[in-house]
Amino acid sequence: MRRSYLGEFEEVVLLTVAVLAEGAYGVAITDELDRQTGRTVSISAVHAALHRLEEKGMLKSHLGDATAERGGRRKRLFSVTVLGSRTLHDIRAVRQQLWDSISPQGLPVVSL
Amino acid sequence: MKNEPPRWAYRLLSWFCAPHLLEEIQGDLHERFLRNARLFGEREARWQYGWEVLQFLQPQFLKRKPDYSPKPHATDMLRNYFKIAYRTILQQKSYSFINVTGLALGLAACILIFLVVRNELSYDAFNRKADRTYRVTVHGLDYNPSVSFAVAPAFRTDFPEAEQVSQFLYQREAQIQVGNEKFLEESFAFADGSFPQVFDFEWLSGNPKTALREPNNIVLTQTMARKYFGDVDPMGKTVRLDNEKDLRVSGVIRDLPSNTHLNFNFLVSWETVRKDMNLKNFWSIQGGYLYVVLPEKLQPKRVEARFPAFIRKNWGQEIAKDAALLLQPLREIHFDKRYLTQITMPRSKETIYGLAGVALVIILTACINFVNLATAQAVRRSKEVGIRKALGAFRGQLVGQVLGETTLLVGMATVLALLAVLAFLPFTKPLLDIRLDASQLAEPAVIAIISGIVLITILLAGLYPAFIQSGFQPIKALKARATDTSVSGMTVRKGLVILQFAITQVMIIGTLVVASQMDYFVNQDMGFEKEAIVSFWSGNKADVMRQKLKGNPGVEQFSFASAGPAFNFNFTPFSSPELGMAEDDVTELKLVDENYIPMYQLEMTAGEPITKKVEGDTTNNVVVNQTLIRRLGIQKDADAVGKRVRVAGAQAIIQGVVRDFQSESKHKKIRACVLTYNSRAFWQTSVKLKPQNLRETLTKIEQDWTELNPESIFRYEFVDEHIAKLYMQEEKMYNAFRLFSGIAIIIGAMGLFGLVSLMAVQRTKEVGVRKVLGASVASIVLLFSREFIWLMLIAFVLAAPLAWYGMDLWLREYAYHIQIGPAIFLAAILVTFVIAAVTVSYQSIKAALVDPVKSLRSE
Repeated sequence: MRRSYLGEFEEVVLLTVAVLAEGAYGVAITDELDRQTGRTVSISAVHAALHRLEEKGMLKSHLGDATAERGGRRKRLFSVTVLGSRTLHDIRAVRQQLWDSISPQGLPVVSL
Repeated sequence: MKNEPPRWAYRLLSWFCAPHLLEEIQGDLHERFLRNARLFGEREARWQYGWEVLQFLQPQFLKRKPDYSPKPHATDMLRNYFKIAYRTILQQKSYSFINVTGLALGLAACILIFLVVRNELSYDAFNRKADRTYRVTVHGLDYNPSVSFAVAPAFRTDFPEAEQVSQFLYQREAQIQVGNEKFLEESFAFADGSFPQVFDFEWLSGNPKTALREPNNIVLTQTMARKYFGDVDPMGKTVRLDNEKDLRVSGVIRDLPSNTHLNFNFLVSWETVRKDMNLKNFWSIQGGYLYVVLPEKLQPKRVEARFPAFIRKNWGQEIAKDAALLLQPLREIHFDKRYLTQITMPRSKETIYGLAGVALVIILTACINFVNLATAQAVRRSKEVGIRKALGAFRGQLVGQVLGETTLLVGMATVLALLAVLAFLPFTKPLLDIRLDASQLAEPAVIAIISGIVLITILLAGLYPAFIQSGFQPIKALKARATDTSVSGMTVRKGLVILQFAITQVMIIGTLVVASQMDYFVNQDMGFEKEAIVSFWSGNKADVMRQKLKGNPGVEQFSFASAGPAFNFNFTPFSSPELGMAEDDVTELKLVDENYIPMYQLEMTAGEPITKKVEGDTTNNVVVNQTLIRRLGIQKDADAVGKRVRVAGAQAIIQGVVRDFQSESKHKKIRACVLTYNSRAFWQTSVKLKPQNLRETLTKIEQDWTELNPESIFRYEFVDEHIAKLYMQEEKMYNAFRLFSGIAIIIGAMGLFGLVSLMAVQRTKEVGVRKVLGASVASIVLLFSREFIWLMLIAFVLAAPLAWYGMDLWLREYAYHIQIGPAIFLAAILVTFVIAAVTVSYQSIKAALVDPVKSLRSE
C-alpha cells in the first residue's frame, strides 16, 4: 500500500473539513480547530495546510458566494476528495490495527 | 468606528500575495477582522489583522500560479502586429510592391550617391601628411598647376624648413617593352626619391625610401607588374621605356586608390631624366608638379608671403613682376576649377553638393510616395484602428504599430537597395568615372551613415501616417465609409503630390538642359571640320610618310602641324608695340603647313592663307584669328593685314585673318591664336579620310607608318572623338544626372500610379453610380485626371523658376553655353503630362470599364 504522507496538522485540518462538511472555509476551519482541539491556530497556517492538501489531491475547492461581512469577497469552500477520504480511512485503520495489537498491559493505566 | 483593516497591511497583502489566492485570504482576514473588532475592539482587531497578514509572508503564498485569465505578454501583441503587417502586405500586393520598390530604388540611389560623395570628399585624405602637403603652382597669364623644374632645387635651398620637396612629372603615354613584347601604356610619371615620403602608397615590395633615388629605376603598380611578369617576382627585372632606357624594377605598389588626384601606372625615378631637363629658366615649356610638405606649425600664408622675394632672388625682377607662386593645399586640388589642365579633371564642390541634393530629393520622393499611399490606405484600415481603440489600445501603441510596419517595409527595401547597389558598383567606373568597391560598404562609418539614412527614412515615411491613422475617432472609424468623405490629410496629400510633381519637373528640366548643353558641346559648329579626320604622331621619316599618304587612294587630304585645332598645345606671349599694345597677352601658337587651313576648312576673312616656306626663308608671316586682332583694337579684319606683331619674342607680319574657331574646349573663351609655317614642329599628322573604305585606308596607313617606325606602336585618334573626350567630365555628370533623375521620375510615377489605383478602389461605388446615371468612360477618366492635371500645373509654376535658376547657375561655368528657352520648359511639362497621363489613365480606364452591375452588387 502506498503510503500517504500526512502531517499531524494536515490530518487534523483534513478531518475538520470533513466535520464542517458544506461550510468548510478558512475562518470556519480555524474556529472549529480552536474549539475542538483547544489550541490557538493561526489562519495562515490553516491556509497553508489547505492548499498543500489541495495540491496533494486530498481536498478540492470551489469559490462560494460573496458575503458582506467579507467585504464582498468570495469564500473558497473545501471538500474532501475520494483520495482524502481513503487516506483518512487508511490512517484510521492503521491506528486501529495498532490499538488492537496493544496488549492490555502494554499501556500504563492512569490510575485514579 | 471605521471598521476598516489597517491600510498598510491590506496593501502589503495585495502586493505580495499571489493573485489566485488573494481573494479568499482577503475575505477570511476581513471576516476575522470584523469579528475581532466586535469582540475585542477596533484597536486589537487592527493589530491582529496586521499580524495575520505578516504571517502570510510565506513562500507558498508568494508563489504565482499560471493565471487563469489570459494576460497578453508584450510579445503577444508584437506577434499580432507582425501577423497583421504580413497580412496587409500580402493582401495589397501592388501597394506593397510600389512602396517597397520605390523605397528600395530611392535608398539605392541614396546609398550610391552617398558613396560617391564620400569618395569625392575624401580625395587625397589617405596621405598621413595631407593637411600640410601643398602643390606649388604658378599664376602668370593663367593658373598653371605645373611649375618649371628650376623651382624645386631653388625651393630646397631657400626653404630648408620644408620637410619634403618632391618633383613629379606626369606623362600621358609611354611605350614599354618587356622582352620582345611591346605595350602602349597610358599615364605614368617621373617622380623623385621624396615622392614616397609625401604620398603614402601601399608598398608590396621594394623599399619606399630608396626605390626612386637611383636613376633608371621603375616602380610598378600591381596590375602592371602582373601584366608584364605574371606571377614571377618582378623585382630586379628590366623593362625598356620608349625604346631608349632600360629600367630596373625597384618596387611594386598596390594600385592607386580611387580618391587621389594622381594617376599613373608606374613611376620612373626622376634621376633618369633629370639631366635632360631645363633646370634654369622660370618660364619653360618643361615643367611638372611640385609637392612640398611643410612642418606642422608653419602657416602656408607665411611661406607664400616669401615667394615674391624668392622669385626675385632666383630669377630676377622681370620674372617676379609677372609671375606668382601659390601653395595649393593637397586636399583642395580635386576641387579647384581654376586648374583645368591637369591629370584628373577637378570637380567643383557645387557639383558634389548638387549630387547630394539630388539624393535628398530622391529619398524625399520615395518617402512622399510612402506617406501618400499610407494615408490613402489608412482609410481602409480605419476599422482595424477602431477595433483596436475600442479594445483599449493607446495612441502610442497604434503609432508604434504603424511605425513598426513602416520599419518592416523599409527593412525589406533596404535589403533590396543594398543588393541593387552591389549589382551596380562595377558600373560606376565606366558610367560616372568613380571607382567604388563593395568593401567600402562594410566600413563602420558607412554602415553608421546608411543606418542613419534608413532611420530617417522610417521616421519621414512613418510618422505622419502613424499620427493620421492613430488619430481616428473609434466611433467614426467603425461606422463604415464614414471616413471616406472626410479623409483627414487629403490636403496634405495634395501638397505632397504637388511637391512630387515639382521635383519630377525640376529633374526633367535639369536633364533636358544638361542634354542640350552636351549636344551643344559635341555637335555644335566648332569653326572647323572634324569629321573623318584622324591624327597621329608623325614619327620618323615624315617625308617618306608624306609620299605614302599621297599614294593612298583612301586619303582625301592631309596636313602636318604642331597640333590640330582642338588640341591646345603651345601658349606664347604676344604684343604689338606698333599698335600701342606693350603689355604681353597670351596667344595660342600653332605651327602648321599649307594644307592645314583648307583641310580643317578654316574660313579666311581677310588676307592670304598659310603658304609653304622653303628652307632659308626668314620672313615671318602669320595668320591670326579674329580674337587676336580685336585684342589689338582692330575692328575690320582687312585692316589687320600687313600689321606687325611680336609673337614669342620675334617680329611677325599678319598676312591673313581666320574666323574664330574653337581651339580648346568650350569651358573657356576662344583665345587669341597665331598660325605660322614651321616645318620643324610638324609633330602631328592629320589625315582626312574618304568616307568609303575607311577601315582599309586606316589599316594601310598603319602598315606604312609601322614600316617607318618599327620600334613604335601606331596610335591614332579621330578628331571628333578627341573633342568628345574634352567633355568627359560633363558626359559623366550627364550620365549621373540621367540616371538619378530617371530614378526620381520612376519613383514619382510609381507613387502616382499607386495613389490613383487606391483612389479608384475607394471610388468603385461612385463610378458605378455615375455609369448607371449615364456617365461615359471618357468622362470618368477625366474625373480622375482633372485633379492631377491641376496639381501638375501648380507644381510647374513652382518648379520652373527653381529649375531655371539652378541650371542657369550651372551653365555659367562654361564660357559657351546654350540659352534656356521656353522650348525646354514646354518639353518638361509635356513629358510630365505624358508620364502622369500614362500612369493615371491605366488605372482610371480600368476603373471606368468596370461593369456597374458588379461594382454595385455587393453590400
